[in-house]
Amino acid sequence: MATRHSGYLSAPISAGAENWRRDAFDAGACLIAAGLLVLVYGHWLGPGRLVLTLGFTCYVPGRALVTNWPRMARWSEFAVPIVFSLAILTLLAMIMLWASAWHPVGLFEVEAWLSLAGLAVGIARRRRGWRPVAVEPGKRLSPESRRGHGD
Amino acid sequence: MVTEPRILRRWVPTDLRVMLANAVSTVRAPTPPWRAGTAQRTGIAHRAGPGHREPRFSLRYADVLLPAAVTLWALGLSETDTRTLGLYGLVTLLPPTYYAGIVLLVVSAAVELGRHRPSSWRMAVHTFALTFMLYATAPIVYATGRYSWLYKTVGVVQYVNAHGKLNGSIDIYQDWSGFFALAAWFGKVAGVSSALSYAKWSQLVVELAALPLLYLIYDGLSLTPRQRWVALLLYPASNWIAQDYFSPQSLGTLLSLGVMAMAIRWLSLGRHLDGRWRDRDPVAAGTAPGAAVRLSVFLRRPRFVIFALCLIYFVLTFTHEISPYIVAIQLGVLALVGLLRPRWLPLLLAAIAIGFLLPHFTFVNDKYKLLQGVGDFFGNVAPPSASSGSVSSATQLIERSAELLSVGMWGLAAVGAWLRRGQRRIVLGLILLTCSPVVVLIFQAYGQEGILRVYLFSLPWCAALAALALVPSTSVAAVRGTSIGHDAAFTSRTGGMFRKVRGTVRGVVWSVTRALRLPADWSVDLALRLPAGRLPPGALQVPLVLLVVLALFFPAFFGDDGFNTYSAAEVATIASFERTATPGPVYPAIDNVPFNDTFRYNLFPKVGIFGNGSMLGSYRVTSDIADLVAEVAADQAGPNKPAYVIIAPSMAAYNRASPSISPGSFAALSRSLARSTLWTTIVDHAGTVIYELPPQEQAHILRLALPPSAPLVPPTVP
Repeated sequence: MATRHSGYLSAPISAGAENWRRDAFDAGACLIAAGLLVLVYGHWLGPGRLVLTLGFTCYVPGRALVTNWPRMARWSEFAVPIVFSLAILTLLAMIMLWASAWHPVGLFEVEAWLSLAGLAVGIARRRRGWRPVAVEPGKRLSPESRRGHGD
Repeated sequence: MVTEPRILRRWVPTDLRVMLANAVSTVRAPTPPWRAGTAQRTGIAHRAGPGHREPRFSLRYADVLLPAAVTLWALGLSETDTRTLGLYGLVTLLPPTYYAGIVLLVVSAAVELGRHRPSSWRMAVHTFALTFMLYATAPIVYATGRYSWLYKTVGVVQYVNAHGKLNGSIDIYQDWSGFFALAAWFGKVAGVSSALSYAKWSQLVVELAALPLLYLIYDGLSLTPRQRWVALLLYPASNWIAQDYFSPQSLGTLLSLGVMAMAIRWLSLGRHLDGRWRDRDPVAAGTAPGAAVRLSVFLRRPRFVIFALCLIYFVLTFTHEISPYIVAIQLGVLALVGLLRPRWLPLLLAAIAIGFLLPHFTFVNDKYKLLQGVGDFFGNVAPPSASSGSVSSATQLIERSAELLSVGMWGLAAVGAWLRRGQRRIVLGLILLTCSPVVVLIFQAYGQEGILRVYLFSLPWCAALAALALVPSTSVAAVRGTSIGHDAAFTSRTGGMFRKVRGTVRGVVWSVTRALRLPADWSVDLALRLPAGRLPPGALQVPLVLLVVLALFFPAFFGDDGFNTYSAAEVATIASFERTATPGPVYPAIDNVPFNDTFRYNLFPKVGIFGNGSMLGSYRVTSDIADLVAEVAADQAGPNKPAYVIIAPSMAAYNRASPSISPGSFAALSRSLARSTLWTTIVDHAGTVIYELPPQEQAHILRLALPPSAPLVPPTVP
């Protein structure tokens, strides 16, 4: 669900809790991607693989994008990744079809590894000490702090 | 002071004892409210005052009612036997326990909403539970997916995976193929051989995925939390259209909601310029740290958001034919009245959609007569039921339920718009978003489904306006958590009425218990169990309206299941035939058959023998009907190609609901085909019979005089 301005309103107190929650979302996405990779490489079939594929399709690539886009992440941790995931995966699958180079499993492997990399970068950025900067009304943000906001 | 029994202290963990103690203190009022002072009677001042702190976790009524509701629902499902579906589909087969579960869930949600501070996570669980209960019912009780048209989409997915490329000359699905590409990719990654194995769960997944997006939208529209939850409960309860099945429009719906959520949050000016909203938003009001800077930065630099929005819109453009135009119209109308910036954005989106249409225009216009409906607004408004001819009384009731639900939701939205007209920009935006999809009907009937798309695309906004009608906006003070959390005028009106009713009921309870010579304590206790104090906003209207909406939703959504569902044997038999048979035209007795679900779907063009738009229309069945069908089939199949006739149990069910021919006609057709020397029975399994007209027999066909009324529609890939 959405998080509403939480990064702005109570940054010094809740930044840790927010980062913990974001890490949990990212870790969940990592688990889905890694679990599905294992099942695909191991050629295991069954309902578990179907459910993990659904989780990947509806969440993982979008989460990897949003976790590196803090402004978007502050707005929505869960809903926007759904739309981004569906859009990205549809677009890439269509490009393969238009190019007559249909390799869905190969495409998935690339997407899964890129998503894992994106998620890892997102976690690392937060662990490195990114935090929202509280600015007094009337003052302008410095370029550094804007970069910190990930805009 | 109450002391705990020693055994409780010894054997029950401390946290559980604290939780139970909290529950008891929450459930039981310490003093009789109707004997207490005003502050205690209202139950507000001491509970929601500035210094008040809710315990970290306390057991509430909803914590008991919700699991009980889900249990009843599950129990009801386990008792449901769908082997003999009647004219009312699943509605009459579901047992009372099932419906009791649904009602209890509504009551539970109403009780939680009735609290002065509804718990967000509890309401989220209620919303997800209601959606799950409504949309998981069909996939649980049926072995196969509903709707004959679902099987065609499965066939296109199979085609993509088998060939690894598209063929735009086959049908429109191959031109707007984003969904099929995604589904084909999904199937390969999931390791399933056919999308049929999971397609029936699509409605549940799509509706669940829509909920967070709708929450974002309602958050962006600055509805109060209570209004958001009511709208989120109304949306799945009134979405009877069933466009969320395994199809391009289901993906299109999610992408459209995503585009609208981003536009409303990042590009809508109403949110930042509306005075009421500014009071409640610390960023817009300038009270949050750095708010002024952030607001100006936001308004100046939304280009990343615009890029992301355009990308999603581009995906939507090649996923579904009509959704991008409706979204562009909705955003265009907002931009026109100055509620959306940049104003050129809808033009850019329209250019993307038209740019994709142009290369495909000739094919689509030739096949679907795209320009035929332009300007014929009233012809385009007509719903699909208008062309279905004579229908049974049960089907009429089902159709009326769907119409009443649609009109009722629009009516409730109109009431909400009128009642909250003071919130100018928000209400204006919602009205425009609700009404603007109608514009599409000026240009297209969309196979008489245009009006259904209009309802579908207006529903999120319609539900928001309906929520505004049911739950008044919270005062500014309430949002800041400093005072009573509801609208004073509403409370005095509703509360006054409620107090009168409560007083009367208390009197009745008191009299009855005394007449039955129950102990005096009991009567006092029973009377006290009635809710005390003033009701929060919408406490009575919400459950009543939700129950009415659900009462209409069930026949509208499950009423046609008698002919929209297929046995696993029927599906498997027809799929097996399609995988192995020599390609040729197929003539189902009535075009309600789970066909075209394999990668060879394009090799078996089909047209029904009877019914609207069929080969023979309402031609009366005669003893030589097999020879007549053979003659038409031989002409249409071409040289050295067989033709097939399919008779399946689902066709008889369809004919009962929408009689195209007399019930005995199926038997007469079967007898005629079996007796004919031209036709050969190649499949006869579980009530599904398939006849073949071999190519070598076509030379022996007698030329008959065809009835002038016979339209003789050639078979096509629909």
